[in-house]
Amino acid sequence: MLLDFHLRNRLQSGTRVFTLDVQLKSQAQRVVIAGPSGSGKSQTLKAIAGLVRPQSGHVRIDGQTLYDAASGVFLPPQARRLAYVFQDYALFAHLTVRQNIAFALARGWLNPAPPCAPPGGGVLDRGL
Amino acid sequence: MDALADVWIVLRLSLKVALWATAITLVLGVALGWLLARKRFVGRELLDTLCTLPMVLPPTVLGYYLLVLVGSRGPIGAWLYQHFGINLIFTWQGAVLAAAIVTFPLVFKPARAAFEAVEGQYEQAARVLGVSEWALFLRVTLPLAWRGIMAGLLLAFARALGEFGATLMIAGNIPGQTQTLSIAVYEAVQAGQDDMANVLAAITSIVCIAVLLSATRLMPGRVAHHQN
Repeated sequence: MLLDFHLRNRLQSGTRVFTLDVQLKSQAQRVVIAGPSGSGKSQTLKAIAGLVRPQSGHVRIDGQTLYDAASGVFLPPQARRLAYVFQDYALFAHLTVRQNIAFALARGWLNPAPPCAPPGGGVLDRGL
Repeated sequence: MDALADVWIVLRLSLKVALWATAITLVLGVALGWLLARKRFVGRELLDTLCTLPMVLPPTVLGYYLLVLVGSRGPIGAWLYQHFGINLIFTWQGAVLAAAIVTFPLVFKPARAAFEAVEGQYEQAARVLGVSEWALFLRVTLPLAWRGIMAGLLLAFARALGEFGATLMIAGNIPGQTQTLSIAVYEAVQAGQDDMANVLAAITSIVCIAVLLSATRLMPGRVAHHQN
């Protein structure tokens, strides 16, 4: 897999300014991004997943352009087919364990139906 | 018994008006609450303030504004009549309009707060999982916010049931057509029909108490299992 990205984003909160400028091109099976808290690891991952739109740069995976500021390409996260685990999991509190697991399998406008819980209640059909 | 039949007609009309008004505020209030919670645009807080006005304006002033706007010579009223032949003045639909506008802030305010309390991270998780924007609203945002919205809706229903001022100005007091509970109480008292007034007042109170009890049970914070 060829991962190729260059991201530049400037975030401002009041008088504090954070500038993200990160570039990587790798064919490795795994890439680990390490750094102190606040150095922009999460911002980088969010930009790759399409959860934030950087001001400039590009993201390409195996030649497919997910984001390119120069040509104005920005695929929404839904179209990127990437998996992303949030730092604090972001499990859906209104759904059972089973519904959380099946969440992405259910296309359309409704959540997967909660099955009739067995007597005693299986662990899968409990709320979170 | 004649009086009982009258009470039933009044109660049925009041419930019809209140249900329609609540249905309208549900759709519009949830939409506006979501818009104010999630989108940044110029005049956002001004829009919020304008839509909150019905809560603080005297109902008679509100009714007067409505009369000026949707009356036969008002800009909206004239347009409606010319294009669709619709007249809202002295109709139960007019009463619905009055009740919907008076109760609108009771729905969109809690809806906005409920949407703001839903962490954006849940929606982002749904996006990464490939769920479309409309579907994630129905599958994630709305279920997480529905408690606050429902509480607002019940309050709005109770308020719509008791709406008096604006309704009287726009729909008048036509028995069997636009005479709602609160207006019937007023008329019964004016006419010295104390028995009738007592019955109507008791019915209104019972319905409102039942609705308020349900609303308290649904208030956000009662069950804190959404926060982790």
